Amino acid sequence: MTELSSGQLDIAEASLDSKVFLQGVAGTGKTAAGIARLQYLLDQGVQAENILVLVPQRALGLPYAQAVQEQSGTQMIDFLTIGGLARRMVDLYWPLIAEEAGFAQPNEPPIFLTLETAQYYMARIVEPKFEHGVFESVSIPSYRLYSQVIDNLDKAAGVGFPHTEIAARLRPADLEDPGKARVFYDVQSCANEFREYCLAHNLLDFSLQLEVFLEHLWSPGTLCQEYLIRQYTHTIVDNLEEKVPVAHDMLLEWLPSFSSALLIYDQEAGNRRFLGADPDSALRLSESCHEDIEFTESFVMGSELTSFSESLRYIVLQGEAHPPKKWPAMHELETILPYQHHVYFPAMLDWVVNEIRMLVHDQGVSPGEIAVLAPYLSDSLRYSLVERLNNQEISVSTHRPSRSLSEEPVIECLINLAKLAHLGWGYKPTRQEITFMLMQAVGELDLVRAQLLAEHVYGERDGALEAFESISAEIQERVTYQVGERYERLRNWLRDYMATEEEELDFFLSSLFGEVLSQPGFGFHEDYNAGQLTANLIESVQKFRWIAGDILEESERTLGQEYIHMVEQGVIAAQYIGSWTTAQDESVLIAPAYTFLMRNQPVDYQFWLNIGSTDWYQRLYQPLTHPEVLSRRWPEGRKWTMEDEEQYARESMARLTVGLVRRCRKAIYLGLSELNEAGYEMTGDLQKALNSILKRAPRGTL
Amino acid sequence: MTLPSDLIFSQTSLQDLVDCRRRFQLRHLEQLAWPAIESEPVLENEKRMRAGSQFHKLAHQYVLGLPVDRLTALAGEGQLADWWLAFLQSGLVDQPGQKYPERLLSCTIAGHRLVAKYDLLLKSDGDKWVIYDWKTGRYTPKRETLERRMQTIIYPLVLVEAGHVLNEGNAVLPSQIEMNYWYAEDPGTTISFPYSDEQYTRDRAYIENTIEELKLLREEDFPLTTEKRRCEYCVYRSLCGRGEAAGTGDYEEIAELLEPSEEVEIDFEQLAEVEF
Repeated sequence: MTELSSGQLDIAEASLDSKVFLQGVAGTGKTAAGIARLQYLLDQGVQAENILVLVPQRALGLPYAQAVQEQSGTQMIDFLTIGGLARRMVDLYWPLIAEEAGFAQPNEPPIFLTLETAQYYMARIVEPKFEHGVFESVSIPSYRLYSQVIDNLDKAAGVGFPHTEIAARLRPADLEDPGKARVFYDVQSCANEFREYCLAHNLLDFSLQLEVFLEHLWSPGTLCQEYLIRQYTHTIVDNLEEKVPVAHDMLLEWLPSFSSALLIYDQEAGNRRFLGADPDSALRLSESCHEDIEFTESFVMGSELTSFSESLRYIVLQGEAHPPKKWPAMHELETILPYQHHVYFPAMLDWVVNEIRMLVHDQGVSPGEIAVLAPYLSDSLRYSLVERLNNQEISVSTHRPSRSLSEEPVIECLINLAKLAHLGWGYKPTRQEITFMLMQAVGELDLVRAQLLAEHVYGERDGALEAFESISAEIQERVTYQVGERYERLRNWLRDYMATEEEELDFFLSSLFGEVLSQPGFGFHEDYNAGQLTANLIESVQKFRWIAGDILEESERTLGQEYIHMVEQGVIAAQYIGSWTTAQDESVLIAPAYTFLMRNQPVDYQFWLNIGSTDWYQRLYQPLTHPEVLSRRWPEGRKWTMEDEEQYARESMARLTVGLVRRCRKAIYLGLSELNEAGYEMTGDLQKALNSILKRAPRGTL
Repeated sequence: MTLPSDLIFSQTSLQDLVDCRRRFQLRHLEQLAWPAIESEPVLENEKRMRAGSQFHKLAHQYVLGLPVDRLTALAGEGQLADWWLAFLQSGLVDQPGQKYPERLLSCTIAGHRLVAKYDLLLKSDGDKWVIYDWKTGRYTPKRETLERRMQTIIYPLVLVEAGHVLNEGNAVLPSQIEMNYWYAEDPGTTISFPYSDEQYTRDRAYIENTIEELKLLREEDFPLTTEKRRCEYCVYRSLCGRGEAAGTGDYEEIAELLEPSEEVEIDFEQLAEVEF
């Protein structure tokens, strides 16, 4: 463990009845103090089971668990999110509250929806309305439409207003466009119907879990609240600013019951505002603590990066922040902000990779100390970087929280095999899809031979695969007999399957994987990534079956058919929650900038790509919801103006970019190209802000 | 080899280690997801495992003091209801004493964490500590088979090592402990294993040696089991070249597979980290 400062020690060793509010910007050692506090509590004989460590998301709790776990002893720490706590309690105390909470089947167990299964049920409600013109003026893909209605329900639960008031809050803020009033009316009616459907079928999406917990279980005198208060006598809450207001409300009520509390607040953060995080609401808790302590010294940045971060914040916020104590000099910027101009995007990527190569191979920098960041990480950008870095023998890990499972070639292969095996579902793969399926499934098969094979064995009209021996000897020879033998095994397996009773889709995939695709000679054999992706798909199908299976029994579609339909609509398997723990210590991390921020692990070197992009500050296009208007901060009935939008953009960019700088120890390389990936010219506000800083130092613009 | 510092041992992982080193390496060191069918008939097995999980939750809720009539209503009809009725009739959890349902304890042995998750720990008024493990599998194994299982070794051992956290700082002595398996399908049957100082000393040395031996292994020292029958019930069979289809369930050893997973999960809750 690293040595603690006297300020950190004071926090860690505060008395066992202290309530401390600790704030400071990123990098000032607050979490380290929190971990030290946890260890101190355990050393003082407090039982781990009596300590509630509350974090906004999984990644931020891992350092607490690991720090305790790596020590010898008998203690293990569990940590929770507010959503996790709500779900756990609702599950446990369900028999007590199901009826009073309005669920129609209190003697049946609760069904907890994942995001994708919530989207599925929302799709069931919204999709039939399309033909009646509902949402016809909204030009976004339907799956994003579903997720935004769900987001509104989550905001209502997290902010603490009735879900029936969504439209009433959104409508006045968007008066310019009269057509929007109808859209918000439709949003409200879909949200209401969804909630009614959930109550009728014991389904609990995130919003309902939170509401049921807070309204029916977190009440004075309930068995659940008594249990929680008895169970947890000490708490450490990290990243308080990233939590929703109702979590702050609950903590305000709970705080007097804790013997000790350490509440950690990251100033100038609130990176999850788009999910309902409310830093202003979090500050209310400081008044309920005995002490309010601020950490100001960075353990991460040197003086040059500190000057740069202050300057950047000042420039981006157009003077609304404190001016920097000192503007960075040019020689300092040259050290901490290397850059090179490029016209074309690929040339910029080559430069980035070359700089990383020099750092790793020439200067001995650990790849784990390098992060390549972009505001948005497309598949092609990710692929280009991984390929280039792998060619330099540099190990890479990528993390995209919303990476699309359905776009992975392995998954496409499995889905197409499922279609072939269930022709009655009405999906016939194209010949091109069969070509790519064969490349994945049959080992050692290149594109040319896969095309040749598909062309001769696959009938697009009937979706049938013909025997290898049915094609001419010349073609057999070109494809090779070895490939032919594997192809036949796959075809025979499918034929045998089709001759028996249809299995559940997840069992079908599992059998296909185990009995054919992962066998020696086939494409998935010894391919650990294929194993992981297949496992993810099977888990997704299984959850879907468990949650939607009973309801689908009344439908004309089979479960597998419905699953494939939803995949094609982009509703399911579009978002896969990847594991945060897969990032390897000795790999260069490639991630979206926000993901890196929320990971909260500084590195020595960062590479910022697409500096000219507007994605560094522009709000995601969300016509059906609004993170600010639905927040507690927003005055009721006020209109959202262009000035608000610009202010929001500036604040977002300041939070993001300054947050990144504060998580950098040595240098930030700027990847500059005049044209972006798609060939369009880029001159966004981040580039202008950086130019402005350089102009203040002699000799410099980007 | 240097084991990962965050590697946590449990009855599941140590059972894998003694059953098949390669399985241990793939499942616990490499954490390799390999989603083949584990055993047939798959749908029936899944139903049993889900019912087993529901049964464990009902038992937990009962100990927490939730009204029995509502729990009985939740148990519904069929297999789960039969188990539940048998559970209520057994009166096991109505005994007086301090009860700790679904309790996780851990200790450090050979420099690594060893954890046990107890369905129920009961400290009786006579200072006796009874471990209850609810079994919902199809078979009641022979006592000799059960005696050799890692669970029978580890659960009492961890209670001796870490029980002081539940006992106002006082050590829990081996002679105070009894390990009980209760079989829902065979509700008259509770298989008990009393514990002793000698047994504790032997078990501790065994587990310590097992972990120390593991540390001496090189990556290539993880051979496949010689008992090939096990491979029929192992998802990695295709990776190891040990067959294609999963075995069907009349092999006594797979009784454990059909229990709801007692793999220790530290419930790191996950809020959707996605963009809308």
